Amino acid sequence: MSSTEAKKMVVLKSFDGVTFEVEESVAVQFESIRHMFEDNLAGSVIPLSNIKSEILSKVIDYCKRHADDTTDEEDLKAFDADFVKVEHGTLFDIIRAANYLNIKSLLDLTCQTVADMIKGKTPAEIRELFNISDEFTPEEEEEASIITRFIYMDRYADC
Amino acid sequence: MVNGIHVVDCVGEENRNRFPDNKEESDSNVNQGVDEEKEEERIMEKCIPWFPLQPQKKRLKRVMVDRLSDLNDSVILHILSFLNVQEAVCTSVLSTRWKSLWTSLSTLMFHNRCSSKSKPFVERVTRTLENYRAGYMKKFAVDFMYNRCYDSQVDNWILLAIQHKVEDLDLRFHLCSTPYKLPHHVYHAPSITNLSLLNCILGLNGAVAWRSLKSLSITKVDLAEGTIEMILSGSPVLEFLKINACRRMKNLTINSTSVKTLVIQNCDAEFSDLLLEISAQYIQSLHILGTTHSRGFQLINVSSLVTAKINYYSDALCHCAKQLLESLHHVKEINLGPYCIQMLSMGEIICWPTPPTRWKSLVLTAHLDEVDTPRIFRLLLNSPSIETLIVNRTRDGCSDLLLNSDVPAVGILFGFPKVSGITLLRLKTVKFTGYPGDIGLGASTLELILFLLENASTLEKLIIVVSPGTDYRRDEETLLNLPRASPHAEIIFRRQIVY
Repeated sequence: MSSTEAKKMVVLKSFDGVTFEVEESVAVQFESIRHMFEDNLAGSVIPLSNIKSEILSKVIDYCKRHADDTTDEEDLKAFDADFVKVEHGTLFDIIRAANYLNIKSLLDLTCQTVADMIKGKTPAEIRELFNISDEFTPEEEEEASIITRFIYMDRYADC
Repeated sequence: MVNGIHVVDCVGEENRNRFPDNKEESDSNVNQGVDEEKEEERIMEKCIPWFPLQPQKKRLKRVMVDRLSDLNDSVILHILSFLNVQEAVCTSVLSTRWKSLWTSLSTLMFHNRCSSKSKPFVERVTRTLENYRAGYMKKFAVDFMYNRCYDSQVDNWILLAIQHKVEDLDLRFHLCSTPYKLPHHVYHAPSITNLSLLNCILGLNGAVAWRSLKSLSITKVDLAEGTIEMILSGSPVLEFLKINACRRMKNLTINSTSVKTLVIQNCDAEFSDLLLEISAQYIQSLHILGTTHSRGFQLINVSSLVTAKINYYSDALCHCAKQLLESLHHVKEINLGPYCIQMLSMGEIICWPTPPTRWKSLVLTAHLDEVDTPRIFRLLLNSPSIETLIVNRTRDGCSDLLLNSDVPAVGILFGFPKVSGITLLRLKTVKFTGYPGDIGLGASTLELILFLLENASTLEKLIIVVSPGTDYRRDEETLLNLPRASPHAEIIFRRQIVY
């Protein structure tokens, strides 16, 4: 696209009513709603009724950075590393948004971040970290531990 | 749903501040039902008796919101796919929600490098697979200390993976007295898209039918006569081929039009010829890596090549490096390692007779000492199309072979030739990495930079990547005062990102 040509814009509206004008070249990364602005509906507002403005703004920021061809690969890595340094609540909101909008690289980045938090931790530590309450019935508990017991034994044995 | 998110966040926020230290602070939610909590604690401890919980931190758990378990199954499975199976299976004791999530994992990766633990490992893999419920398996990977006594189990795993229409099959067997012989059904598995093998025997008696295979990576696989040919003829959509440390590697002819990338790594001359000929007229990317003992490479027909990475190390001086580079003069992107750069000053290379290269991007990994820099200089003089130059300074690898040898050509290139006319008319970006914090850039690197600044009239950026905490002020001062041919040239010291 030449620089003189007017850039095609897409308007997105968060659930709390904030509208965002985004270049189409950035919005194409939103796989799941791509058809809405590509089907000649230019100018109309696309409602994203389950994404807060705070999160949508972050997601757009991410996609802008990733759509920019001139960004250095190292800069992009640094941006990604900073991008996921957020509170758990925000991180999970971004995961939901990335999943809803089907932005694969963002979903990978955020899910990898959560996986890294889980890695190397005991179940007790994982529960603690994510506030997972454990509501097993005795039967379920027995079943789960039969499958996993031998793994734990192995994992924490000297090696 | 919408409000739910909002409320959830407020609760999370409110409690994050208190957690975990201010446990004494009163809160009606926290203090209700102490008995219930004790009951809960009892159940949890019973559930995983080998992990005593920390009771002092548990008191606030009830009012916190579990955002992780709230995610839908597909997202949680995606998170689990970044863990190894062991860690993923472990999540089944987290809560009811998590109990059988892992059985739908599409990626199963098992690793164990401790030989004394192989037996329990093999049992564990077998039992995990017995509990596996997903209809389709994206990836199955094992990496362990193999022994022949596990053959039947391993055969069964692979059979099960194939029955689950596995796409990525990654089999790495270590320290085996005898390599693992791949079972027959592997050769006809139509779902396999990526196949990676370490220490396996390919018993190709009949034809191979890998109709989906796109990527094949074989390491320490004995290449009996005709093996590669048979694989190529049975893999019509193969795009990527990597051959690493394979015995009996013979001259390679790839006529397949689908193969775009070829990687040759650690290619020894053991049981084969000293010179390995590679003829692959349709490949677009070639990588020669690793170490090769007393073996050279010759490219016969590589006319479609776009990118090449020649970064191998050999313990012998080899005259074929020059020839190798000549056959790569038409590529767009080239990446050269220290050994290859050293070989450039061998023999007749001094009067480089070749037509100028068409390289647009040149990446060099070099020692950047007083012997190396003139060689780089030579390369640049012969590469007028270069737009991007990246120089990675390294201290790895060999000491300079030529410095310690009797080769007559040594020394000819020491010192910078005089330049007549401007050669670097297209160079826009230059980047130096591996800045030596202790000694700074040093005289020879500075000389190279000076040459670039003086001759690259279209230069836009010269970037020096430095590690955090490095003092580069002296070099910065020196560089900023150097004359520049390009009025737009910017000199940037950029801090390296450390993870």
